[in-house]
Amino acid sequence: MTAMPAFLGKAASFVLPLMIWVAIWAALPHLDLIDPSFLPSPAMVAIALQKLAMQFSFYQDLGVTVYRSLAGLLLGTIIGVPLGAWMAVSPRAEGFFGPIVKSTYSLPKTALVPLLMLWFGIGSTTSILAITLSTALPMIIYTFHAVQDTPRILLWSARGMGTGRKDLMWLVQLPASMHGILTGARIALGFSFVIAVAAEMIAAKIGIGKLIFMYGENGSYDYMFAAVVAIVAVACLADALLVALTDHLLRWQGRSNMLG
Amino acid sequence: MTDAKISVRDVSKTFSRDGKVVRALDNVDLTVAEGEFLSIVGPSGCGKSTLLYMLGGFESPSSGALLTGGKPITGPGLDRGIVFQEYALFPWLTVAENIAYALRRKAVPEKQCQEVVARYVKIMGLSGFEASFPRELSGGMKQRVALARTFAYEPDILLLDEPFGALDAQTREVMQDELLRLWRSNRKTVVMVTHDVDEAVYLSNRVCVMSKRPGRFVRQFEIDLDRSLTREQVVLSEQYRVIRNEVWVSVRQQVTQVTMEGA
Amino acid sequence: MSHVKKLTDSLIALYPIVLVAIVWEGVTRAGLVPPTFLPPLSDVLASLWQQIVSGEIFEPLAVSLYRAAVGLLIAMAEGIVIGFLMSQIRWFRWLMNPVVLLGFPAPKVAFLPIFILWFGIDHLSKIALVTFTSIFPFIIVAQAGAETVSRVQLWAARAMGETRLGILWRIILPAAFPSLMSGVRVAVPYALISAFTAEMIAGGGGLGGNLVYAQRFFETTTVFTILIVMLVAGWLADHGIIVLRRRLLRWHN
Repeated sequence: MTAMPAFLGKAASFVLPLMIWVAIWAALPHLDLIDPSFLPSPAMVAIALQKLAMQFSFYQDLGVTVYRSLAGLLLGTIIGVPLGAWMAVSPRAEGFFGPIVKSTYSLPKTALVPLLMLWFGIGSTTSILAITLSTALPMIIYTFHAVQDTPRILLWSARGMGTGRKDLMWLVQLPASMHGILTGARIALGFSFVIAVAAEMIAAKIGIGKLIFMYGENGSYDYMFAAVVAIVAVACLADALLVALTDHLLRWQGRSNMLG
Repeated sequence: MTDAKISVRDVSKTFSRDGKVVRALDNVDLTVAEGEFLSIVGPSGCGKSTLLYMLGGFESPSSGALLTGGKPITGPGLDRGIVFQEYALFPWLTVAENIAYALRRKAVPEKQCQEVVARYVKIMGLSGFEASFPRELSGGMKQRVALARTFAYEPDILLLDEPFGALDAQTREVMQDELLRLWRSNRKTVVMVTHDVDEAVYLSNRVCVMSKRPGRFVRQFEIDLDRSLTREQVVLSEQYRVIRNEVWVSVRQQVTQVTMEGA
Repeated sequence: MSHVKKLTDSLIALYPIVLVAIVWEGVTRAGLVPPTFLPPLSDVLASLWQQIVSGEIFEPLAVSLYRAAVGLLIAMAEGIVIGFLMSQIRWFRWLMNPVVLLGFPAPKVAFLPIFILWFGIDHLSKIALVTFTSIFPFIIVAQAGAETVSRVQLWAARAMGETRLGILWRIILPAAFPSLMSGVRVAVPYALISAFTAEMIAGGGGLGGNLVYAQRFFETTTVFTILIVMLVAGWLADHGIIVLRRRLLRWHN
């Protein structure tokens, strides 16, 4: 199959530069540029990662962070997409929710974490709520614009062919808006991980954020770096899965740009 | 006339755009009989597409009335099928699903849907592409799908908005003949808007010339070409050339007319 | 439309916010919620006013803005250079591609403890986070903007004696300018969020540090006050960028 060499070629152009970067990383302490106690070597980090991978508690921490991110993202999507779609078709809904959305847009969403901590204490509830609110906003906005930008000739054709008002959303507007909505989801996914980790760094009992912070305070820098590598890998994996899902759902449209 | 298929009475349309008032159509009158193939030609921006959109029920007149079969047009409907220049296919549906769209809305039984789809796929030369998505098709094929999906549910009236404008010259000629063939097989009423005078004269049995904006009908031409001839014979015939030149001159006059400000 | 009508229309359009404000005030004044949970809006506004008048609010605000601005400027300079180079030099693009692809979805706040390790808990670590977060939008828009320059434009320039550096400065930069402005628009909120977040996690003053401090001592009124200041700061920054963009891009559209 001709797809195989192309895939390997792509993988190589991804992995090879990274290997060069790892080599640079390993070489840095030797060049007397950086104190080695501040930058554990790739080998040390790899060993620490291996050790972490054998600890159940590590998976608990990682799992909790991922759970919070995805749960918040899911809730944010469930709230955001219907609301955005509704706002796009109903001027009254837009008139009511529009100002609220626009005014909260400029608020850095991590700032909600301390407030939510005041209300709900430290733990998953706070994280998930913060993530829900932060992801709902981009989902509303992206869905709104996507539905609004549905080409009118598609709407007209559909109506001319007997599509009732109610069916119009499901049959035409939402499929036509899929690209915009999934782009919003990609952005929201990024937010969800950031807020989950940030909340855990501010105050938490479990979670990768807390783990990273704790290792930092203990001076176990190789473990700290390992934990950072772990969460970055997981977040990038989640993003890649979303892109793959997007490409699959939108295969009628053509491949999505990897950079969104 | 009560047996006119389409009746446009004293229709005007004004838009307001960026605070300015634009008068698109000015007291337009038109009747179309059942089974007629009517083309509307005129300079760009004269409002001919606007008239078509009003016939489709997508826009409403500022004054006057549009009727079909004696009843006023209040919105889009399955009796008036529309084909756009930009095809307006649903990109997330396959060719077969696009063609079947209106049939499904009409709750036609699935088996019948499949039969109709298969028939039009064959007629329009789309065999082998039933499962393809619009993005994989050329412009000409996309327009075939657009025509197929509109013909599939047999609306009484066909509204065509510059349907071949986005195609290259050769494909356009092929599609024109396809349209003619389809129309001759079911003799539905067709109203086509086009800026291509040659096309209008070739396809229609009546051509109406619209003035520069605000649009008004200024002339009409009855056309009766000998349809037993091939395309080459028709286009090279004296009859065709004479009428085509008259229509062209009439449109040119509209294009080069001094605009009357504030009209 | 007259200016007065436009103004009143805009104000009327804000009715949902007024509604929220009324409900907030009513619910809290009626004693339905304890004040440590939700202080009355009037108290929050009064506290905000008092902090503005006394000048108290400006020190942490300035600290946060300073960190965000410095980080943003560094990110802009470095990001634009990297993006341009990526568009022009193939091996560099090959080398940087995975970094950018991984960098975008990665939760960059996870690197904050590393920055604290390297730069301490004062300004520098926070600036580092801001730079790290804001650099990616610049790389992407700079690369995309530089790629809008067509091959034939470059050839024409070379034929007219343009140097390599001249091409970068006189052709690629102006061509990329609209994209760069969009990059700024995206990066500014990132910069502010990163500065506030870094302060919330590591302390060290600024609005973020004060926010967490107030939360720890259950000073809910202060928490809301700071949130409002953050909101306004974000809004002003965004609008400032819009105005700047309009001024600078008059030739574009």
